[in-house]
Amino acid sequence: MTAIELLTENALIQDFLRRVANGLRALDDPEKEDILAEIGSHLRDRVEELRSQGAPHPAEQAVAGLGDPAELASQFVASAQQRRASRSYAPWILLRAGARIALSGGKGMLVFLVAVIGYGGAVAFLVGAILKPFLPQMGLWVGNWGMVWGLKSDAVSGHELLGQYFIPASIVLSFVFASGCTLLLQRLTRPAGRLLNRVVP
Amino acid sequence: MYVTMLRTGNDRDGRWEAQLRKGSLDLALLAVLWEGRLYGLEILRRLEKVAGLEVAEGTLYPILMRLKQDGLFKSTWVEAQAGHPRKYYWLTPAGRQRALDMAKTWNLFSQGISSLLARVKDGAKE
Repeated sequence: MTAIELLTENALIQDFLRRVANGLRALDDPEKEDILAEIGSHLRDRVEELRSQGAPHPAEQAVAGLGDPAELASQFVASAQQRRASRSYAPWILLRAGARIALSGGKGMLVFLVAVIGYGGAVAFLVGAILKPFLPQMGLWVGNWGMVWGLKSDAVSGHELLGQYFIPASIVLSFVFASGCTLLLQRLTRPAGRLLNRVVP
Repeated sequence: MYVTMLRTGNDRDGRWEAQLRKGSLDLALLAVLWEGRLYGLEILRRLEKVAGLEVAEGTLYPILMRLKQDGLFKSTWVEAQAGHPRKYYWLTPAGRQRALDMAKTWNLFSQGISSLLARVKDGAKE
Protein backbone atom coordinates (compact mmCIF):
# COMPACT_ATOMS: atom_id res chain seq x y z
CA MET A 1 0.00 0.00 0.00
CA THR A 2 1.41 3.36 -1.03
CA ALA A 3 1.60 6.50 1.08
CA ILE A 4 -0.83 8.23 -1.30
CA GLU A 5 -3.38 5.43 -0.94
CA LEU A 6 -3.04 5.65 2.84
CA LEU A 7 -3.58 9.41 2.75
CA THR A 8 -6.63 9.00 0.53
CA GLU A 9 -8.11 6.42 2.89
CA ASN A 10 -7.54 8.66 5.89
CA ALA A 11 -9.05 11.61 4.06
CA LEU A 12 -12.17 9.58 3.22
CA ILE A 13 -12.59 8.50 6.83
CA GLN A 14 -11.96 11.99 8.19
CA ASP A 15 -14.45 13.48 5.74
CA PHE A 16 -17.11 10.97 6.81
CA LEU A 17 -16.43 11.68 10.50
CA ARG A 18 -16.62 15.42 9.87
CA ARG A 19 -20.03 15.01 8.28
CA VAL A 20 -21.25 12.86 11.19
CA ALA A 21 -19.88 15.51 13.59
CA ASN A 22 -21.94 18.18 11.80
CA GLY A 23 -25.08 16.26 12.66
CA LEU A 24 -24.05 15.77 16.30
CA ARG A 25 -23.89 19.48 17.19
CA ALA A 26 -26.83 19.12 19.59
CA LEU A 27 -24.81 16.77 21.80
CA ASP A 28 -22.27 17.54 24.54
CA ASP A 29 -18.62 17.47 23.50
CA PRO A 30 -17.64 14.31 25.47
CA GLU A 31 -20.64 12.42 24.08
CA LYS A 32 -19.91 13.60 20.55
CA GLU A 33 -16.21 12.70 20.81
CA ASP A 34 -17.06 9.23 22.12
CA ILE A 35 -19.43 8.57 19.20
CA LEU A 36 -16.93 9.83 16.63
CA ALA A 37 -14.13 7.76 18.19
CA GLU A 38 -16.30 4.64 17.99
CA ILE A 39 -17.32 5.27 14.38
CA GLY A 40 -13.67 5.95 13.50
CA SER A 41 -12.59 2.75 15.22
CA HIS A 42 -15.28 0.81 13.34
CA LEU A 43 -14.14 2.27 10.02
CA ARG A 44 -10.53 1.29 10.67
CA ASP A 45 -11.65 -2.25 11.60
CA ARG A 46 -13.72 -2.48 8.42
CA VAL A 47 -10.89 -1.18 6.23
CA GLU A 48 -8.55 -3.83 7.68
CA GLU A 49 -11.18 -6.52 7.19
CA LEU A 50 -11.95 -5.50 3.60
CA ARG A 51 -8.27 -5.21 2.74
CA SER A 52 -7.64 -8.73 4.04
CA GLN A 53 -10.47 -9.89 1.76
CA GLY A 54 -8.77 -8.24 -1.22
CA ALA A 55 -11.35 -5.47 -1.71
CA PRO A 56 -10.17 -2.94 -4.31
CA HIS A 57 -11.32 0.19 -2.42
CA PRO A 58 -11.62 -0.75 1.26
CA ALA A 59 -12.05 2.78 2.66
CA GLU A 60 -14.78 3.68 0.18
CA GLN A 61 -16.63 0.46 0.91
CA ALA A 62 -16.22 0.88 4.68
CA VAL A 63 -17.64 4.39 4.57
CA ALA A 64 -20.51 3.31 2.32
CA GLY A 65 -21.36 0.54 4.79
CA LEU A 66 -22.35 3.09 7.42
CA GLY A 67 -24.82 4.80 5.11
CA ASP A 68 -25.68 8.49 5.11
CA PRO A 69 -23.63 10.32 7.80
CA ALA A 70 -26.45 12.79 8.53
CA GLU A 71 -28.93 9.96 9.07
CA LEU A 72 -26.46 8.12 11.31
CA ALA A 73 -25.94 11.27 13.38
CA SER A 74 -29.68 11.89 13.68
CA GLN A 75 -30.18 8.43 15.19
CA PHE A 76 -27.59 9.17 17.88
CA VAL A 77 -29.13 12.59 18.56
CA ALA A 78 -32.62 11.10 18.85
CA SER A 79 -31.39 8.60 21.45
CA ALA A 80 -29.50 11.23 23.42
CA GLN A 81 -32.35 13.76 23.43
CA GLN A 82 -34.81 11.13 24.50
CA ARG A 83 -32.62 10.19 27.46
CA ARG A 84 -32.06 13.84 28.35
CA ALA A 85 -35.80 14.56 28.23
CA SER A 86 -36.60 11.60 30.45
CA ARG A 87 -34.41 13.15 33.17
CA SER A 88 -35.17 16.80 32.61
CA TYR A 89 -37.65 19.21 34.19
CA ALA A 90 -37.04 21.89 31.55
CA PRO A 91 -40.13 22.40 29.34
CA TRP A 92 -38.08 23.42 26.27
CA ILE A 93 -36.03 20.18 26.44
CA LEU A 94 -39.19 18.11 26.91
CA LEU A 95 -40.93 19.97 24.08
CA ARG A 96 -37.95 19.51 21.76
CA ALA A 97 -37.89 15.79 22.47
CA GLY A 98 -41.66 15.73 22.05
CA ALA A 99 -41.39 17.43 18.66
CA ARG A 100 -38.84 14.87 17.51
CA ILE A 101 -40.98 12.03 18.82
CA ALA A 102 -44.02 13.51 17.08
CA LEU A 103 -42.34 12.78 13.76
CA SER A 104 -42.11 9.08 14.61
CA GLY A 105 -45.81 8.29 14.18
CA GLY A 106 -49.37 8.72 15.38
CA LYS A 107 -48.74 7.91 19.03
CA GLY A 108 -45.78 10.25 19.03
CA MET A 109 -47.98 13.02 17.66
CA LEU A 110 -50.45 12.41 20.49
CA VAL A 111 -47.62 12.83 23.01
CA PHE A 112 -46.65 16.12 21.42
CA LEU A 113 -50.24 17.39 21.51
CA VAL A 114 -50.47 16.50 25.19
CA ALA A 115 -47.28 18.50 25.76
CA VAL A 116 -48.58 21.53 23.90
CA ILE A 117 -51.98 21.44 25.65
CA GLY A 118 -50.37 20.87 29.07
CA TYR A 119 -47.88 23.72 28.87
CA GLY A 120 -50.36 25.90 26.96
CA GLY A 121 -52.90 25.46 29.78
CA ALA A 122 -50.25 26.27 32.40
CA VAL A 123 -49.33 29.50 30.60
CA ALA A 124 -53.00 30.47 30.14
CA PHE A 125 -53.79 30.07 33.86
CA LEU A 126 -50.69 32.04 34.80
CA VAL A 127 -51.57 34.86 32.41
CA GLY A 128 -55.09 34.93 33.91
CA ALA A 129 -53.65 35.29 37.43
CA ILE A 130 -51.33 38.14 36.33
CA LEU A 131 -54.10 40.03 34.50
CA LYS A 132 -56.72 39.74 37.27
CA PRO A 133 -55.61 42.92 39.17
CA PHE A 134 -55.94 44.95 35.95
CA LEU A 135 -59.06 43.27 34.53
CA PRO A 136 -61.77 42.90 37.18
CA GLN A 137 -63.98 41.03 34.72
CA MET A 138 -61.44 38.17 34.79
CA GLY A 139 -62.79 35.29 36.87
CA LEU A 140 -64.72 32.04 37.04
CA TRP A 141 -68.07 32.97 35.55
CA VAL A 142 -71.19 30.86 35.59
CA GLY A 143 -74.54 31.46 34.01
CA ASN A 144 -77.32 29.61 32.26
CA TRP A 145 -74.97 29.47 29.23
CA GLY A 146 -72.32 27.42 31.09
CA MET A 147 -69.01 28.23 32.75
CA VAL A 148 -66.01 30.33 31.69
CA TRP A 149 -62.56 30.61 33.28
CA GLY A 150 -61.31 33.99 32.07
CA LEU A 151 -63.02 37.00 30.56
CA LYS A 152 -66.80 37.04 30.28
CA SER A 153 -68.46 38.94 27.49
CA ASP A 154 -70.53 41.88 28.72
CA ALA A 155 -73.30 40.80 26.41
CA VAL A 156 -74.23 37.79 28.54
CA SER A 157 -75.35 37.59 32.14
CA GLY A 158 -73.75 35.56 34.89
CA HIS A 159 -71.93 35.83 38.18
CA GLU A 160 -68.36 35.34 39.29
CA LEU A 161 -67.61 32.62 41.86
CA LEU A 162 -64.03 33.11 43.08
CA GLY A 163 -63.46 36.84 43.58
CA GLN A 164 -59.88 37.49 44.71
CA TYR A 165 -59.37 33.73 45.16
CA PHE A 166 -59.18 33.64 41.36
CA ILE A 167 -55.45 34.51 41.52
CA PRO A 168 -54.30 31.71 43.88
CA ALA A 169 -56.64 29.24 42.15
CA SER A 170 -55.14 30.14 38.75
CA ILE A 171 -51.59 29.81 40.08
CA VAL A 172 -52.38 26.40 41.57
CA LEU A 173 -53.97 25.22 38.31
CA SER A 174 -51.00 26.55 36.33
CA PHE A 175 -48.65 24.58 38.58
CA VAL A 176 -50.79 21.44 38.29
CA PHE A 177 -50.85 21.65 34.47
CA ALA A 178 -47.10 22.33 34.18
CA SER A 179 -45.94 19.70 36.67
CA GLY A 180 -48.46 17.10 35.45
CA CYS A 181 -47.37 17.67 31.86
CA THR A 182 -43.69 17.49 32.81
CA LEU A 183 -44.12 14.21 34.68
CA LEU A 184 -46.17 12.75 31.83
CA LEU A 185 -43.59 13.76 29.24
CA GLN A 186 -40.73 12.39 31.33
CA ARG A 187 -42.58 9.11 31.59
CA LEU A 188 -43.39 8.98 27.89
CA THR A 189 -39.88 9.87 26.76
CA ARG A 190 -38.26 7.32 29.07
CA PRO A 191 -36.39 4.59 27.14
CA ALA A 192 -38.71 1.95 28.58
CA GLY A 193 -41.49 3.55 26.52
CA ARG A 194 -40.47 1.62 23.45
CA LEU A 195 -43.14 3.16 21.26
CA LEU A 196 -41.19 6.37 21.40
CA ASN A 197 -37.92 4.96 20.18
CA ARG A 198 -37.34 6.21 16.72
CA VAL A 199 -36.13 3.28 14.67
CA VAL A 200 -35.16 4.17 11.17
CA PRO A 201 -34.95 1.42 8.55
CA MET B 1 -32.30 -2.20 5.34
CA TYR B 2 -32.34 -2.54 9.09
CA VAL B 3 -31.44 -6.21 9.38
CA THR B 4 -31.36 -8.86 6.71
CA MET B 5 -31.35 -12.61 6.78
CA LEU B 6 -31.89 -15.40 4.35
CA ARG B 7 -35.31 -15.09 2.72
CA THR B 8 -37.30 -18.26 3.13
CA GLY B 9 -40.81 -17.34 2.05
CA ASN B 10 -42.95 -15.39 -0.33
CA ASP B 11 -43.01 -12.20 1.76
CA ARG B 12 -42.45 -10.18 -1.38
CA ASP B 13 -42.05 -6.75 0.13
CA GLY B 14 -40.16 -8.14 3.13
CA ARG B 15 -42.14 -5.94 5.52
CA TRP B 16 -43.19 -8.71 7.86
CA GLU B 17 -39.69 -10.16 8.01
CA ALA B 18 -38.22 -6.71 8.61
CA GLN B 19 -40.60 -6.09 11.53
CA LEU B 20 -39.82 -9.50 12.99
CA ARG B 21 -36.09 -8.91 12.83
CA LYS B 22 -36.40 -5.38 14.14
CA GLY B 23 -38.38 -6.61 17.13
CA SER B 24 -35.87 -9.32 17.97
CA LEU B 25 -32.70 -7.26 17.55
CA ASP B 26 -32.50 -6.16 21.20
CA LEU B 27 -32.72 -9.79 22.30
CA ALA B 28 -30.10 -10.80 19.72
CA LEU B 29 -27.70 -8.14 21.04
CA LEU B 30 -28.29 -9.16 24.65
CA ALA B 31 -27.73 -12.80 23.71
CA VAL B 32 -24.58 -12.17 21.70
CA LEU B 33 -22.96 -10.46 24.69
CA TRP B 34 -24.03 -13.18 27.12
CA GLU B 35 -20.68 -14.94 27.08
CA GLY B 36 -18.42 -11.92 27.29
CA ARG B 37 -17.43 -8.53 26.03
CA LEU B 38 -17.24 -7.69 22.33
CA TYR B 39 -16.66 -4.58 20.22
CA GLY B 40 -18.88 -3.33 17.37
CA LEU B 41 -17.54 -5.26 14.40
CA GLU B 42 -17.18 -8.43 16.50
CA ILE B 43 -20.85 -8.13 17.46
CA LEU B 44 -21.86 -7.80 13.81
CA ARG B 45 -19.78 -10.78 12.74
CA ARG B 46 -20.97 -12.94 15.66
CA LEU B 47 -24.62 -12.19 14.83
CA GLU B 48 -23.94 -13.08 11.23
CA LYS B 49 -22.07 -16.28 11.98
CA VAL B 50 -24.23 -17.69 14.75
CA ALA B 51 -27.70 -16.45 13.80
CA GLY B 52 -27.45 -15.52 10.13
CA LEU B 53 -28.42 -11.95 11.05
CA GLU B 54 -26.90 -9.18 8.98
CA VAL B 55 -27.38 -5.94 10.89
CA ALA B 56 -26.72 -2.72 8.99
CA GLU B 57 -23.54 -1.19 10.37
CA GLY B 58 -25.10 2.25 10.72
CA THR B 59 -27.96 0.77 12.72
CA LEU B 60 -25.86 -1.05 15.30
CA TYR B 61 -24.15 1.82 17.11
CA PRO B 62 -27.22 3.94 17.95
CA ILE B 63 -28.88 0.79 19.31
CA LEU B 64 -25.82 -0.04 21.42
CA MET B 65 -25.97 3.53 22.73
CA ARG B 66 -29.65 3.16 23.60
CA LEU B 67 -29.19 -0.16 25.38
CA LYS B 68 -26.31 1.34 27.31
CA GLN B 69 -28.50 4.29 28.30
CA ASP B 70 -31.12 1.79 29.46
CA GLY B 71 -28.50 0.37 31.84
CA LEU B 72 -28.37 -3.01 30.08
CA PHE B 73 -24.81 -2.61 28.71
CA LYS B 74 -21.60 -1.09 29.93
CA SER B 75 -18.67 -0.15 27.75
CA THR B 76 -15.02 0.75 27.96
CA TRP B 77 -12.27 1.73 25.57
CA VAL B 78 -9.46 -0.81 25.30
CA GLU B 79 -6.09 0.08 23.81
CA ALA B 80 -4.94 -2.67 21.46
CA GLN B 81 -1.31 -3.74 21.54
CA ALA B 82 -1.21 -3.24 17.80
CA GLY B 83 -3.72 -1.11 15.97
CA HIS B 84 -6.33 1.29 17.32
CA PRO B 85 -8.43 1.42 20.49
CA ARG B 86 -11.78 -0.34 20.45
CA LYS B 87 -14.91 0.18 22.50
CA TYR B 88 -16.00 -3.06 24.17
CA TYR B 89 -19.50 -3.75 25.45
CA TRP B 90 -20.68 -6.20 28.07
CA LEU B 91 -23.89 -6.98 29.94
CA THR B 92 -24.70 -5.39 33.29
CA PRO B 93 -26.59 -7.49 35.88
CA ALA B 94 -29.76 -5.71 34.69
CA GLY B 95 -28.83 -6.68 31.11
CA ARG B 96 -28.38 -10.32 32.08
CA GLN B 97 -31.74 -10.32 33.83
CA ARG B 98 -33.34 -8.65 30.82
CA ALA B 99 -31.79 -11.28 28.52
CA LEU B 100 -33.22 -14.07 30.70
CA ASP B 101 -36.67 -12.48 30.78
CA MET B 102 -36.72 -11.85 27.04
CA ALA B 103 -35.45 -15.37 26.28
CA LYS B 104 -38.25 -16.81 28.41
CA THR B 105 -40.86 -14.71 26.62
CA TRP B 106 -39.36 -15.56 23.24
CA ASN B 107 -39.40 -19.31 23.97
CA LEU B 108 -43.02 -19.26 25.13
CA PHE B 109 -44.05 -17.23 22.07
CA SER B 110 -42.06 -19.42 19.74
CA GLN B 111 -43.56 -22.62 21.18
CA GLY B 112 -47.07 -21.22 20.76
CA ILE B 113 -46.47 -20.19 17.17
CA SER B 114 -44.80 -23.53 16.42
CA SER B 115 -47.90 -25.35 17.67
CA LEU B 116 -50.03 -23.26 15.32
CA LEU B 117 -47.63 -23.82 12.44
CA ALA B 118 -47.79 -27.58 12.97
CA ARG B 119 -51.51 -27.35 12.19
CA VAL B 120 -50.82 -25.24 9.14
CA LYS B 121 -48.37 -27.88 7.97
CA ASP B 122 -50.89 -30.68 8.60
CA GLY B 123 -53.51 -28.70 6.71
CA ALA B 124 -51.22 -28.43 3.71
CA LYS B 125 -51.08 -32.22 3.50
CA GLU B 126 -54.86 -32.55 3.31
